[in-house]
Amino acid sequence: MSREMDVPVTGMTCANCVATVERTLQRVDGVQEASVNFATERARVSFDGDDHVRDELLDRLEHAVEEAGYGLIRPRGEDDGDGDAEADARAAEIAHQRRAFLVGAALAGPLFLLSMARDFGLVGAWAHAPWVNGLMFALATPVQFYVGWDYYVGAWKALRNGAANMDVLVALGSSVAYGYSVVVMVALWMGSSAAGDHVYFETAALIITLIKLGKLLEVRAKGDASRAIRELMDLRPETARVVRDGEIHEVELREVEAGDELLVRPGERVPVDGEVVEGRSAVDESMLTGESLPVEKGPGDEVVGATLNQDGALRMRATRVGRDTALSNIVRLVQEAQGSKAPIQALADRVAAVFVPVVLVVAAGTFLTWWLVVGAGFTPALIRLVAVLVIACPCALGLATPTAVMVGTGKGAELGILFRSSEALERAHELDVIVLDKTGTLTRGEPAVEEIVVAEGAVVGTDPGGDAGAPDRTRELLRLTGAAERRSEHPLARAVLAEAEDRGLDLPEPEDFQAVPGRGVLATVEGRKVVVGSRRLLEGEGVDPSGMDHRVEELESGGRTVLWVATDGRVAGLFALADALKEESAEAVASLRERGLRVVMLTGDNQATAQAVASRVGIEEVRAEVLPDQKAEAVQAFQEEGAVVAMVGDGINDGPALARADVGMALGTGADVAMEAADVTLMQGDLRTVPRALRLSEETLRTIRQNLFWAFAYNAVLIPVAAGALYPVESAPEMLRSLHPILAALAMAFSSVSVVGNSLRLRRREL
Amino acid sequence: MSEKTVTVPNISCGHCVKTIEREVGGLPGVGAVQAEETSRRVTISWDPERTDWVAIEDHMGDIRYPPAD
Repeated sequence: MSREMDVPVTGMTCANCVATVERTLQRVDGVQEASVNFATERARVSFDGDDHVRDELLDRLEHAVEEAGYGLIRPRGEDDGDGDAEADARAAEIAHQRRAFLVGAALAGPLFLLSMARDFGLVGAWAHAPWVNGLMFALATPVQFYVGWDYYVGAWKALRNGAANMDVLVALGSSVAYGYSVVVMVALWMGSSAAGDHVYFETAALIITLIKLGKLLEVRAKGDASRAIRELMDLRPETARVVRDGEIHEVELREVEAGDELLVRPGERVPVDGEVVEGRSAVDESMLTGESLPVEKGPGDEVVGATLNQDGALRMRATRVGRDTALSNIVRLVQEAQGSKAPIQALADRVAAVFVPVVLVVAAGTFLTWWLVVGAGFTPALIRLVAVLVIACPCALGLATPTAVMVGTGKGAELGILFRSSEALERAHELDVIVLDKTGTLTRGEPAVEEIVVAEGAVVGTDPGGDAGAPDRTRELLRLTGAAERRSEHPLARAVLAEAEDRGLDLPEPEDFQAVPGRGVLATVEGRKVVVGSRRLLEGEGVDPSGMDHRVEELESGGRTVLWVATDGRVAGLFALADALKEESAEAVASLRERGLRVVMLTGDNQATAQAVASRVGIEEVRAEVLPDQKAEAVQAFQEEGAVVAMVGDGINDGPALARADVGMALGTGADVAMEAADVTLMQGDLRTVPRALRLSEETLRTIRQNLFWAFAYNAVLIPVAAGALYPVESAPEMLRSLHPILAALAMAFSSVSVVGNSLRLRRREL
Repeated sequence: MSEKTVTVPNISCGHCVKTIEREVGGLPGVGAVQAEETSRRVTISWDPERTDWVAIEDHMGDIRYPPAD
C-alpha cells in the first residue's frame, strides 16, 4: 500500500528550485511520486513500505537533497515535523549541563572533603600516604576533562579571537592546578619533593564544578525562543473550506492556492489572506492591528489570514497563501528579530578580559624575578608561577552572576515581573529609550462609553412628551439601549452594558432580538422597537438619521466610535465610545521620565487620536500610523542611533517589535504570542511595574558587581603572597612567606560564602 | 574540445547555477561547465567525439533550463 509523508525542505529561493528539488526527489530509489510546494517549503513524497523503509528512504532523500544544495528536515515519527529543533536543542543542552554538573559534584565533593580534612589535620596520618594522592587524581581527572571539556573548547575559541573570557581563566587556572598536582604526585612517588609536596586536585575540580553549577542555572533560566513562533503558528486554522466546481471541500490549509474560493463561517478564523467576494461580517483584526473593535467587511474588502470572523458568513478569494500571508510575515519578523539580538557580554567575561592578562603578566613577572633576579633556581621559580595562577582562579566566579540572577528573578516573580532571560535582567537598567504601545498598553484596549447624547425631541422617557430632566432622559436612553444590546457579544455592546451596570440600571429583557452582522442589533423592548448600530443600519430600517450628523462629526473627530440608537422609527440618541486610558498610565509615564528615559508612544492609530492620548498621559514623542510590520523597524531605528531600547506591548502585532527590542516587555493581560516574544512579562498588566522592573535590574546588577568583587577579592589579595612578596619579611609566618595551600582553600571558601550571602541580601532590598 | 556560451533566461538564483553545472557537467563527454547567475550565461565545453550540442541542449530542456535561441 502506498503511503505519503510530508517533509520540510529548506533553502529554496525560486520557482526553479522547486523543479530541481522535485526532480532530485523523484530520482531517489523507492520514491513513487514527489511534489514540492514552494510556499509551504514542503515536499510530499509517496512511497511503499513500513516505518523502517521510511527511515531508510529519508536517509537517501536527505543525502540527495543536500547534494543538490538544499536542506531537508527530518520529520519525527508521524508528526509532520514542523521542527521544534530549537526546543529540543535547549532540552539537550540542559540535560548535558546537568549531567556534567552531577558528575562534577559526585567526584569533587568527596575530593574536597578529603583534601580539607587532610589540610586541617582532621584525619589520621593515613591521609598523607602516597596512595591518597592517587585517589585524588582518580577523582579529579574525570572532572578536569569530562566536566571541564566545555571550558577548553570555549577558551580555545576565545583565544583564537584574541580575547580572554571566563572560560580562559577557568581552563587555565584549573589546568595549571591539575597539571602541577600530577607532576608533584609523580615526583613524590619517585621519592622527590623537589616540585613541592602538596597537590591541588581539589582546587581544580571545585572550580570546574562550581562554575558548572552556575552554567546549569544559567541555561535553565534561558527563555524558550521558539515558543513565540509556535503560538503564532497555532493561530492558523488547520483546514479551509474550498469551493470547487460548486462543491465545498474541506482541505488542509497548505493545499489552498491563490485564486481558490473559500467559505468562512461565523466564529471561524480566516484561513489565508484574500478578498471578500460575497457576504458581510465583522472581523476581529486585533491580531494584526491591536485594535479591539471588529472591522466591518463586505465584498471587495481585504481580509487577513488568522483574523477572527465574528458574526456573518463570508465567501472569499484567496490572494496570498503559505509564506506570503501577513501572519507568515509576522512569524518571519519575530524569527529575524530573535536571531538579530546581539548577546551582551556577561559582566564576568568583561572582568575576566582584564583580569586574565593582568594575572598572566604577574605570573610571568614572578617566574622571571625568582629565576633570574633572585636566582632561586628554575624549579622553585616555576612553583611560584604555578602558585600565582592557582590562587588567581576564583571558584566563586561562576556563582557570582547566576546566584544574583536567581534571587533577582525570584524577587521579580513575587512582584509579578517574570524575566525570561538573564540578559534582559542585566540589560534593563541601562535603557535609553522606552517605547510604549498605545492600544492595550496605555489604554485598556477595549471601548468604553465616553458620552451619551440624547436627540432633541426624542421620545425616550416612559412619559412621552413629559418634561423629564436631561439626566433622566440619558438614563432612559441607556436603559433601552442596554436592554436591546443584552444578548449581543459585540465589544461596543459590552461597553454599553458596562456603562448601564456602572449606573446601577435594571435592564429589562428584550422581547425579540436580532443581530445584523457587522451593523448592529434590532430588538423590541417594553413594546418599543429599538435599533442600535451603524448609521447604515438605521437607514435600512427606515429611520432618517440626518438630523444628528453635525454631532457625529464632532464626536468622531476625537477618534471615537459612534453608536446610533433609534426608537420607534426615530433617532433617539448617540453613544460615543473610545478606548479608555488606564488609570495608572500617567503615573507610570511620569515615573519613567523621572528616571531620565526617553518615552515614546508607538501606534497604528491616526495622528490626532495618538496625540490626544499622548498628551493625557504626558508623552511628548509620538509615532503614529505605524503599520504592524513597521513597529519592529521603529524600534530598530532607535537602536541604530545607539540607544538601548525597551518595548512595552501586549498584542500579537507587537511580537516582532518585542523580540527586536533590547528588552521586550509584554503585559500579562495581552496575547500569548507577545509574552513568548518578549523577555519580560508583567503579570498584572500594570504599567507601574515597568519602573519597578528597571529598579530590580539595577539592584541585581549592583549585586552581581559586588559578587564579582568578593569572588576576586580574597584571591587577588593573596596573589602577592603567592608571588612571594612576603618572602623577604623574615618575621612573617612561614605560611605567608611561601603560600600555604590552606590559604588557597580558605580564599575559595570565603569567596563562595560571601557571594552566596550577598546574593541573598537582594531578597530584602526595597523596590 | 568544443566550447559554446549560451544565455539561459531561466536562471534566477544561485541554486540554478549549481543545478546546471551539476546536471550538464554530469553528461558523458561534457567537460567544464560554467554558469553565472547575474549574466545568466553558461559556458560549456565538450568532447565532439563523445557527444554533441544537440544532446546537451536537449538535456538542458529536460531540466527546465533551455538555452535561449
